[in-house]
Amino acid sequence: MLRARLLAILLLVPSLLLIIPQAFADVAPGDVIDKTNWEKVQGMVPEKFLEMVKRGEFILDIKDKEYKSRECFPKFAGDARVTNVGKYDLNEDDWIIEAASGKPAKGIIGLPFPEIDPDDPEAATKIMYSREYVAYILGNLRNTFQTPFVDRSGYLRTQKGRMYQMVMDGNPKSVTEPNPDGMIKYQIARVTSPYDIAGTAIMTWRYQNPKKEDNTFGYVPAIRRVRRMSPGNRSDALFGSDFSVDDTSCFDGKVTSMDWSLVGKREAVLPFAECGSGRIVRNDEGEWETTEGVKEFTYGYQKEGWQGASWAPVNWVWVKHPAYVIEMKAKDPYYNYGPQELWLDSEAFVPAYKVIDDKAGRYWKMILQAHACFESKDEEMQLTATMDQLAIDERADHATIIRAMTPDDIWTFHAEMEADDFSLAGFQKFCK
Amino acid sequence: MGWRRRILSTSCCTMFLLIAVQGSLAVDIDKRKTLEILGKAQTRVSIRLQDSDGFTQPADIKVGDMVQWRNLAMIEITHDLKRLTKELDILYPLKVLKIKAKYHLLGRFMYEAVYNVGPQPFQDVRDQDKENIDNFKQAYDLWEAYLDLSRGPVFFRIGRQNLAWGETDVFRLLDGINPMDNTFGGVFEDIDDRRIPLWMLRGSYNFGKVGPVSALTVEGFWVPGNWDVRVAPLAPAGTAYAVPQPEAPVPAVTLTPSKVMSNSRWGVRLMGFLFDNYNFTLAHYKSYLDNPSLRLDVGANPLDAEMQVSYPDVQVTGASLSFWQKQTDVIVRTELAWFWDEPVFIPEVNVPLVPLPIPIPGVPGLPANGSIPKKDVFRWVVGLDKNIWIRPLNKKRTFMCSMQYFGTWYQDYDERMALPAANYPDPNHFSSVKEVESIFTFLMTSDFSGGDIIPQLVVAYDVRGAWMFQPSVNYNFEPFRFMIQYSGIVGNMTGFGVFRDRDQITFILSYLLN
Repeated sequence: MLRARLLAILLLVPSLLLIIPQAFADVAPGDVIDKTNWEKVQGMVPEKFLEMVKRGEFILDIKDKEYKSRECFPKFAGDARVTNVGKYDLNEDDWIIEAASGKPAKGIIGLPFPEIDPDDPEAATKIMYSREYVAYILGNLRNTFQTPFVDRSGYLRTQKGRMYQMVMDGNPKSVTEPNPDGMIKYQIARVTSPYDIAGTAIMTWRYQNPKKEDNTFGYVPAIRRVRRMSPGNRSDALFGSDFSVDDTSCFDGKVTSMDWSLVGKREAVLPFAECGSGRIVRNDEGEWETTEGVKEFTYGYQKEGWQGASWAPVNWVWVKHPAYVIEMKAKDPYYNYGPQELWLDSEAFVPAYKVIDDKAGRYWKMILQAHACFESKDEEMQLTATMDQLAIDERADHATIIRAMTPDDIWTFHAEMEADDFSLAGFQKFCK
Repeated sequence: MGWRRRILSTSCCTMFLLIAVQGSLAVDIDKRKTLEILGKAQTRVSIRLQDSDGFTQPADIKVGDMVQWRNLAMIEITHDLKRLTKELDILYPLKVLKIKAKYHLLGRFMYEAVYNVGPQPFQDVRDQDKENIDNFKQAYDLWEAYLDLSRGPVFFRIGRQNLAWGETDVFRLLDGINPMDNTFGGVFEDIDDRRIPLWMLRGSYNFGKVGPVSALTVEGFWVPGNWDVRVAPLAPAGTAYAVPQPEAPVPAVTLTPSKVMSNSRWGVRLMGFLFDNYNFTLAHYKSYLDNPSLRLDVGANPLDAEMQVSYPDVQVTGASLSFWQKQTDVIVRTELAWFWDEPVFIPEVNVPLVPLPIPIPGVPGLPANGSIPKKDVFRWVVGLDKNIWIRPLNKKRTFMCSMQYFGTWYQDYDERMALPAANYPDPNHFSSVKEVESIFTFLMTSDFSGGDIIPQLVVAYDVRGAWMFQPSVNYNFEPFRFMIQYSGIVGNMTGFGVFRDRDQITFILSYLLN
């Protein structure tokens, strides 16, 4: 009995030591966290982000969400959250296989790993696959976007662009598309403004084969030619911004390009776009679109009298929410980043923060992302999608915002697309 | 004339910029952004850093003289007709046939002020050849105008456009379809700024995956000869970037290709992606070289002799291959091109002189009828691209480095082959052409201050002994762009070394209409 008590105490003490910092830290809807009471979110946000709050750069308006993250999915994905439990596993190449047969999985609908066992040594990789499939659940995507560049003194300039993404898995329509090349997704991002770089475009082919790196092609108007790009370029600046190609949506690389490890699951304070759901409508082609009524975000440089960082969002909402914390490290020795830490909404599998160190392990950049739930008026369709994203390069004292959905930037989900548009010839249709 | 014209020109340029600034509309015509309007207004001034030397005209251009004041405005419209296809009856066929359509228009307005307000020698050049120079110094064009039609794997682009094949930068191999305008800045200008769009029908068909080849595509183009046979223009004598030439003892006559169907440019290429790593193309096309051919034409009487400057067509067969080399993280680009029957210059053949029956001092001989010899020429390039960190220079961004090696080999090489540019001071002495010629190029760029400052270095080295250096810095200050660029050439009178007395510094101010 005595031994058992001692053992229990021995186990309890370290656990308490881990919990204590968070025991003092807690928030409630209505709190406003700033440099005077930053302790309330200590341990609930990445340490480097906490320092920004301490410095008064960010003010966190704590609210509650009106929806549950895990429920904001289309019906097919909601059903799959039940039917996919235990259905898939990973092989030695970190690729998804059918648990029963051990064969590579094909035609996955919904999240492949809707429930995560934190003790599973592959938990982090499985979380990242579910994160990837959150994007595939949205179907093909067509959108415009704006990326303001901001420094400490304020607004500098804006780039505008378009993005097209065709996915070959994750939703009932995509899995029926012919896929002779074994792709998991095609993507084209093209700059439309300013004039000096308008027409610059990047096309990515991502293969299902876990051993195949992405193939990336760049079109540079100055030479009017499509050029191969190195997969290592995915960690280089995207169109001169503070984001790298892989930084979009916090991580847009291939899951098998990284080594993943789960740090833990914890109560966190995560950024969201709004408390309620945004509206999507069906257009005459059967696609789902955001509307002009979408919430528009304000940033420090846009608000008179704002005392925080010029790039800080003023009207994101911050919600106490469980999160997974994952460490990631690139397998590619030429990748520009060292260790990175990712915080994800543990119910929606959507990243909220990414902390980036350089190859020497020194802190370099922070990516933040607010996501939102969208639903149609009749609640027939519900989607979880990324809204604004923010990359802060603290060494350069410079930031880039990706303003995703705005009243001027309509996003189309489950869009009609043709794989021909993503061929080498098809890519040139998007170019000059 | 001087001061009034200067005031007028300066006022025009200032007004032009002011109008552009006033018109700084952020143009999003429709919510769906199917109509995009972009534009830029640019003024660039180049200052010569060397006195004119050799056969360069005008000979009295000195260090510090302005050699370029080029003002450019471009307005670009791109309109995706997808939504209109649903709404306009006139576009009903596109709707029924499920054809996606888009058009693109680019208007270009150019005015070169140096011949009005520049150094007196340039104003004198204009006074002596007013009509020609006035045509040369200004242009108002529908520079690009094309319609894109696509359905599934089929794609057509119809209209005035540029088409670049191949894998090379700086110099061209398979990318010889559109002519180059070397008249306004010579080799110091970007290739794309020099490309002249042609009225062209271009189409492609994507076969998709065929065996180990992904995205197998056949592409073709046709520039109807009775519609557009534009060739690279020659800079008028005495203009700032004209090739240095001695006073011609006989008049020169330029013979451009006539507008007949047989003078059509055309070509076809097959391209694909092999084993998920190797981009390849196989191509064959017919076009016209930028460098014209020379031939002395005497006719019946040596006193009627004239120098014919013509543009024979040439056919080119080639291939390219590019791939990513995993261990070194390098993109490797290669390209081969066989130029069939390319005109070459052999002074004794192109511009022969018959010995005088009685030698006269200073007169090497009597002109005789020349011909244009032709050789098959093999050209190749190997290029390596890699992003690298140079942390002492830039801790935050990588440097993009690109190196290329260009080789040329002449089949049936003739030791008398030469460059058609006379070596000063002997107008009858020309730099020889070697059986194998080699040029290396190097480009490096990065960005600083969050992308606001973009330095770039371009170096070219001709192993015959000529170097070209072109460092530049771009600065972004929305909606303006400032650029300072130095261009310098040192070395022998070979290849780009012909322009070795044209070192310059250029200041460019652009206003972007975004």
